[in-house]
This record gives sequence, C-alpha cells and structure tokens, in this order.
Amino acid sequence: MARTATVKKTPAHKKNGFVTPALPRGKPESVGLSSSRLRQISSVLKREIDKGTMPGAVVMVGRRGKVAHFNALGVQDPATQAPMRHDSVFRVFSMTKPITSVAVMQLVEDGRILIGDPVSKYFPAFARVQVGVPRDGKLHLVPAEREITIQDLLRHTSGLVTHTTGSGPVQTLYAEAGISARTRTNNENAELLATMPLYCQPGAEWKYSRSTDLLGSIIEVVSGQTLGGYLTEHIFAPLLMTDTGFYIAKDRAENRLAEAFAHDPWTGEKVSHWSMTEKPALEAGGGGLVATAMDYARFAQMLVNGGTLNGERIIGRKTLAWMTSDHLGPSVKVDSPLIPPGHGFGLGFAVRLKPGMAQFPGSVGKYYWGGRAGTQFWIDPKENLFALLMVQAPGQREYLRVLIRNLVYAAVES
Amino acid sequence: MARSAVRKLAPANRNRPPSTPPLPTAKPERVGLSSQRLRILTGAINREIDRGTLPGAVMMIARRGKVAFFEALGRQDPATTAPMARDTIFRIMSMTKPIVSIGLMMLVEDGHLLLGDPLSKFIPEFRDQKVGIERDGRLHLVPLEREVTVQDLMRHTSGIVYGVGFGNSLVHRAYAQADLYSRAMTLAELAARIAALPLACQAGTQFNYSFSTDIVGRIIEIVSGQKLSAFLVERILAPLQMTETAFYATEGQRHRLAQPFPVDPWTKAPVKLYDMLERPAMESGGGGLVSTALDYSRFCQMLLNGGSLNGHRIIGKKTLQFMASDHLGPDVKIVTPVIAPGASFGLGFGVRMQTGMAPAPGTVGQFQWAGVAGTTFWIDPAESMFAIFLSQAPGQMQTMAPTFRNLVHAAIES
Repeated sequence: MARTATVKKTPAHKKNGFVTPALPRGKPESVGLSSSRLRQISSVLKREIDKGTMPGAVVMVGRRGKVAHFNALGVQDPATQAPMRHDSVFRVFSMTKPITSVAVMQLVEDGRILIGDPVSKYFPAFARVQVGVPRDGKLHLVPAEREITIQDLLRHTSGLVTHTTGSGPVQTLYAEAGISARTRTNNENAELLATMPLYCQPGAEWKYSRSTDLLGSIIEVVSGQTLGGYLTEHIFAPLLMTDTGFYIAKDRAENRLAEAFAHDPWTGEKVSHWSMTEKPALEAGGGGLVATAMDYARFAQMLVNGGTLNGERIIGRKTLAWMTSDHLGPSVKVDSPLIPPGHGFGLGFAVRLKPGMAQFPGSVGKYYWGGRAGTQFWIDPKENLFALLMVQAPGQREYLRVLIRNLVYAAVES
Repeated sequence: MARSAVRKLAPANRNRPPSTPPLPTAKPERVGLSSQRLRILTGAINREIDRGTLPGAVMMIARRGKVAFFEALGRQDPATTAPMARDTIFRIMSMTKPIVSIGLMMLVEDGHLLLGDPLSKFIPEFRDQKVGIERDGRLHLVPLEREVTVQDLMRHTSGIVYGVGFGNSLVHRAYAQADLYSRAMTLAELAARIAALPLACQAGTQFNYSFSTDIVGRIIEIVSGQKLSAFLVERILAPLQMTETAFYATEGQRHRLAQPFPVDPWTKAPVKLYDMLERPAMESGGGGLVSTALDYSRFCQMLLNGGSLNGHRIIGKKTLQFMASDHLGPDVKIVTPVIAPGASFGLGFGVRMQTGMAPAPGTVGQFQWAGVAGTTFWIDPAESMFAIFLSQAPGQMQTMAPTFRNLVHAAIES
C-alpha cells in the first residue's frame, strides 16, 4: 500500500475475514510512468482539497498489471474530519452501469439473452410504449416505430431518459413520477418505466437514461436472482471485490464512509446522498453501488486484461472488444456533453474514436464512465493502463474529470 | 532574452556565450537516406538561388536521432558578401506558434488550466465579445452561442482572425484598422485591442488562422505570472539548450542575421521584415521569435522523441500525441487556406491525415508548421524523421516549400 504524506499506512479492514486483496504494486518507472509527474497528480489534488473543492480523494493509476500510484488525500467525511483512507467507501453512482452492462453480456455469453431481443420479451408492457412529441404546449403520443431492444438499453438509444437530462415535458413526467426513489423494487421500477412516454423514437438519439436500471430488472427476470445476488455471484465474488454492493454493513464500514460537503463549495446548494449502510429496496443497476478504490480497480484490471483476473474469466475477450467499440455510428443523433467530441458509445461505456477533438488526451479505443458524485475510471488498452478517481463532490465532477485525465496522461513516459 | 537563465546550464565562460549543442550526426545511408538524392536537393536549391529566387537557405534533415544533412547555401544578406552559414539567425515567424502551444500544454499538464476553460476566465475583456454578422453591407453584432475556449485558441476556431491579407470582410477590415501589428505594444495591450473587435464567426464553427496564438501567449503570462519570454526560456528554451532563440537578436549577433531581398524577385513589391536587433515590447506568441537551424532542430528532435530530449521531458508523450491529432473534424469550415488538402489542424500544428490529396508527399501523422518569412519544418513520427528549411523569402514559399518537401521525400530509401 502506498505511504503518502497525508495518510499513515492504514490497517486493512479484517472484520469477517474478508478483505479485498490488493493488486500488485510496481515502481512507476518500471511501467513507463514518471514518478515526479504522478506526484504532481497528488500535489494538484491536494491544492484543490486545500482550496475547498472537495473534502478528499483517492486516486489510483495502474499500468502493465501493476498499481504504480495509489494515494488517499484529504478528509473522508467533513463532519468527522477523519482522514481519507485507501479503503474508504464511496457511492460510485453510474460507475455501476459498466458492471451491470458486463453482467448483461455474461447472460448473452450464456445464450440466455440476445442484444437484439425486444425488451418486451422480458417486460411485456414495453410492447405498448409510445413516443411523446411536444406540440402546441402539449405532449402528443405517437406509436414507436420499432421495439426497444437490449442493445438500445446498453447504448442509451432506447428513448428512455431520466429526470436530470433536461427540463422537457418527458423529463418532467419522470420527475413527477418520483423515478429516482429507492423504495421500489427493480420489478416495480420496470413497470413504472413502461408507463412513461419515450423522449424519441427508439434508435434515433443517444440520451442518457434509466435504461441501465431496466437492464438490472431484466437480469433479475432472466437469472431468477436479485440483481445484488447475481452481481455478487458472477462478478464481485470471483473478483474478490469484498466491499462492493448496493449497501455495506454498518459494522463492516462505519469508519470508512466517504461523504461530500453538506453544501456545494461553489454554489452553496445543499448536497444530500442516500445512506450507504441502509439496505435499499431498489438495487439500482444504473447507479446504486458503493465500492472502494481497490474493489473497482480489480474490475478495471480485469477489463484491461481483456476479461480475466487471476485466472477468473468474467467476460470473453471478443465480447469485451465488441462492448468497447462504438455502437452509435453516424445516424444516431448525439447532443450531450456526456459524449465529448471524438467519442462514441458502446455497450455500457463511452469510447474514444479520435485521438484529437476532445478537450483532454487519451488513446483511440480508450473507454470509460463515471458517477455523478465525481468518481470516474478509464481503461486505455493501447497504453495498458487504467486510472481511477474516487471522490464525493457532485458539483465539481466535470472539472475534476478533465483535470485528472490531463494529469494522468502527462505521467505516461514510454 | 534572459541570458542569465541560460548561463545557469552551460559552464561559465566570459569570452564565449553558451552555445547550442549540436545533435549527433550520421551519414545519410546509415539512416536510410540517399546521399545522391540529397545532392539533387542541394543542386535544386542552388539553382533557385542562382536564378535569384531567394538569397540563400539553411536546410537540415535528421532521422533516427541523427542529423544526416545540414547545409547552408547562397548568401545570408543580399546587402553584404557574407555567405549563408549553418548558424545564421532567421525570423521564424509562425514557427513560434508550435513552441508557444507546447508552453500552454505544459501548464495544462501542471494542472493550472483546462482546454475547456473559457478565454474570459483569464482575460475578462473578452467576456462581452460579440460575433460580427455582415448584412446589407453593415456589421451586426450578435451574442456568442457559447464561450470561446482555450482549445478554440489553440486550433484557431475562436473567431479571432488576422487582419491584413487574410480576408476582406468587415471584420477583417476592422482588424486592419486596429493597428494590431505594432511591436511597441505588449501582449496585454494586443489582447485588449482584439477583445474590443467583433469575432468573425461563432466559436468552434470556422478555422480562421489568427492572432489566437498571441492570446495563448498572453494566457501563459497570466497563468505563469511571468513574461512570455521568461516562461519560454525557463520551461522550454533553456532545458533544450536553444541558446539563440529569442524575441530579438543581440548586438553580438549583428553579423549573423538573414535578410530577404529588398524587393520581391517576382512581383517587384518591396519586402519589409522587422528589424531583429530592435528589442520589442511585443513578445508575439504568434510570430515573434528569431532562431537558428540548430536551435529549432533540438525542438524538433524533442517532438520526434515524443516530448523529451537528453532526459529533459518538456511535454508528455500522450499530450503531444493529442496535440498532433485532428482537432477540427468534419464540421469546422476551413476559411484560411493554410491547410493543405488531406491535412487538418491540431493544437498548434498542421496534421497530415491522408497519404494522398496534398500537393507534396508525406506520411499520415506528420505534423508541421511554417513561417511566412520563408521557413518550414515537419516532424514525421512514422519515418522517425524531421526536416527544417530556413530562408527569408516570403513571396517564394509557394514554390520553395513543396520543392523542399518533394526532394526530401525523394531521398528516403528505406
């Protein structure tokens, strides 16, 4: 484990005997990274912490199978002022989506789902969805020209949206229905989504959405397990991600929970997040997981390795290559800051298609996603590299996202 | 130039100022070039010199880390008998832009700014800038649809233009009247004058070759707290031991300065290039440096090495790849005809996108730029090569640049 200037070596949490094993460490220069430029990452994050941008952060960079940089900085919880730990637990929000997407593709590899399957095969109510067309201040409903497929859900072209992607009439209906409530089950959530009008025709436009929650519901239907049960058996347990789940037991983690500032440091708005130790009714495949940096790093290293970690194959190499390629093409309308210029979207990940265009560096083929509290990760297959930032700072996520990318890539030597 | 900063690197010697160390050399055949075809290059340029096309030229070609061709031909100054020398000093004009662009990206790597940051964040005078739309012979001012970003400046999509000789629209004429080429004002004053002018287009919609890189120079000053010259010396010129690159020449260099014909040999128009011995207030990030072939070759070898030279890392490998990639894409209208067919523009460099199309041969991935006084260079990562052509013959580059490019490529054997 890294010794850092701000955090003493923290003892691994040993309750119940389950501890996430650390990935092997390597000196930066031995994996073609610059120690001094990696130190600059922590230096800049510390500068931001001192400025009050976020309470603290955990950052990790891995290359060629080794972790070359792993730092915990600042404070874990502004209310307690406890220092950030390497094994602090974070709400990863939409970093849940790549995990859920891999789980769906495991069922594809089992021959139990085709990505061309209509969603109505699993939830018949979706055969009757209609598209909401705003006209003369009212929402007119027209038939969907084709059914929503599993592929649409994975790449966010279903026509489903979420209440935070705009203030149009469809998004308003989502907000009014209380779509983000954690008190419904996955089944109830799916039935509720089926009653919402679509924002656009299936396949017409990329629109960030509740699609991945619906995928979670479908996993439950196909596997007969709860989403948490399926993910634990097929992903978390084989990868030894012992601190990952839709909640974490209080006695396991009560001194390791990372929290955001109570008020956004830039706008003053109140910030409130759901409790990490409360078991929710909704195991949200689109955003409900908590995890530690090392847990998610094991998922990331599995991805860098092309689908296996320490002999455990989670997903096939060719399936992963298929997932991490562009699935939009030129005819799907994309108009969202979530897909930067020069990028496309695959089955659960944004994918870089061009070496230039975006406002941050990265290789063609790099794929990633992030969560709304500011956590993010990316995989760069060409550079055999992954990077991970864990933070709870929702209002600062756009800024930190780009800053970290610039700094990590500056450290690539050879 | 802050010569004291340079003395810190070289051994103290009162009689001889520190000199630029040469790169290693090799015979052409050792690096896959043909001596015989390089002799044809020499002959062709001499032929043009004898014809009176240009007074003289300095050319250098390096491959696989070795200089294989380095010649000075013709006369240094039509007014004297001095022959062109390999260490003759030239006005490199817009070959300043790549150096300054690297400077800006160093600050991005340091975590001091993002490419997506709005220009107005650094220079508030730009906050109220409007776009000038020409209608019925008059200029109508409309608001910007989005803010001009640092990325826009780096790739000339800011809507800022050059005035004289780059267009005849009302916006161009407003620029021509604003006395923007004075060497008596500072970058800060230039920025203020440009901020008071309308933009030629909405940000991000057109490539207009422009004063944008001068604004980049001003941003460097603001973010670093140093004058542009001091920043460039400290971060680039001194580490690379480019001891004769500066915003003016010294008295001791008086007899080594390249001069153009006083009258263009083809059009008979007078040729007026600025006095290199004058110390200007203007440290123009867009075109103010003077340099030598040896100096610029060290910059080129650093670029070819992916960002470092002799253990001094100037810029990260991935950051440089990012800069030397297309940042325009298919939707930006290229207005200024400084980009050849088959090429595009990155962050401070032209970038070759196709093997064919262009009026001279080259390799996909080559990145380059040129200076209007008669200089050009390119970096060819795939061929491990760079080439530099220096002259002071502003009206003749339409012929000399493709000639040089054709004959250099003809000399590549293996």
